[in-house]
Amino acid sequence: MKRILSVLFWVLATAAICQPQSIQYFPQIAEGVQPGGIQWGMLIAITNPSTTFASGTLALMKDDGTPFPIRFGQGGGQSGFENPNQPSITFQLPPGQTTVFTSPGESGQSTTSLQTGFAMLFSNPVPLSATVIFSEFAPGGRIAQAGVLSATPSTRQEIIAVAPSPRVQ
Amino acid sequence: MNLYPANTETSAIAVANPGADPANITYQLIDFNGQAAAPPVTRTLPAKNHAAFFVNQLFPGTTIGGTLRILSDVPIVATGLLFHNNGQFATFPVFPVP
Repeated sequence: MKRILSVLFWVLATAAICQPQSIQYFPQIAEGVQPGGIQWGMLIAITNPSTTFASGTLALMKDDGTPFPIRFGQGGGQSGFENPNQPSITFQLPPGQTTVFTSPGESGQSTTSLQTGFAMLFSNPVPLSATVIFSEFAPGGRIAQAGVLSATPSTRQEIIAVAPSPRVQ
Repeated sequence: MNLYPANTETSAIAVANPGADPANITYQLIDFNGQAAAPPVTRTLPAKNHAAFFVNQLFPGTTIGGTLRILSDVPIVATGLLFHNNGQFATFPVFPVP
């Protein structure tokens, strides 16, 4: 009996250790000020819909594949954190909780030139749910917001395309 | 039904290559009748890189709407962007092509 319990323990421990890491991709991120004073920022809201404690890492990449450090603040269920301008953020998220990382440009406070890139969200042992919400500011205030969900890597995909012209009747 | 007031909006595509190999990406502009609206354009996106293009950057002079098909030799991620000439923008997801 003791031997069976020991085997069972190691099987379960191995299964726990080998839980696959979940990766989500966000094809567009932006932060900073473009010529003309238009400012871009974003918040990244991440929730743990499972009943399991999760660990996560948010990795930010610039267009050229180099790390993209952004001084995020944190709100939601685990507020108080300020990322010291690093290109990746590691965090813990208890079951049901949501955390929100907010870039300086999201509140119109960016002081850097506009840079774009993409983000990857790694989590373990369960997938997290997340969305990126962009904000765009003109000198008079916020003029637009839009959300980007995570995307699945694919070799064949399509978007509705609007070239600058014809009216669809 | 007026979906897009003339000359006020244009689509863009943002693509990222999260893999370890370069992606050779072919962009095909297809009109509302399902016909090629312009010759396809191929661009290479190095590993871990990101790029974004307006439709009329890929297909200069294009005034035709429809769909923009994105075909790649390695898996990539993408999202659609829509910019209004008053500065406003929207995002929308891609859909898979069989």
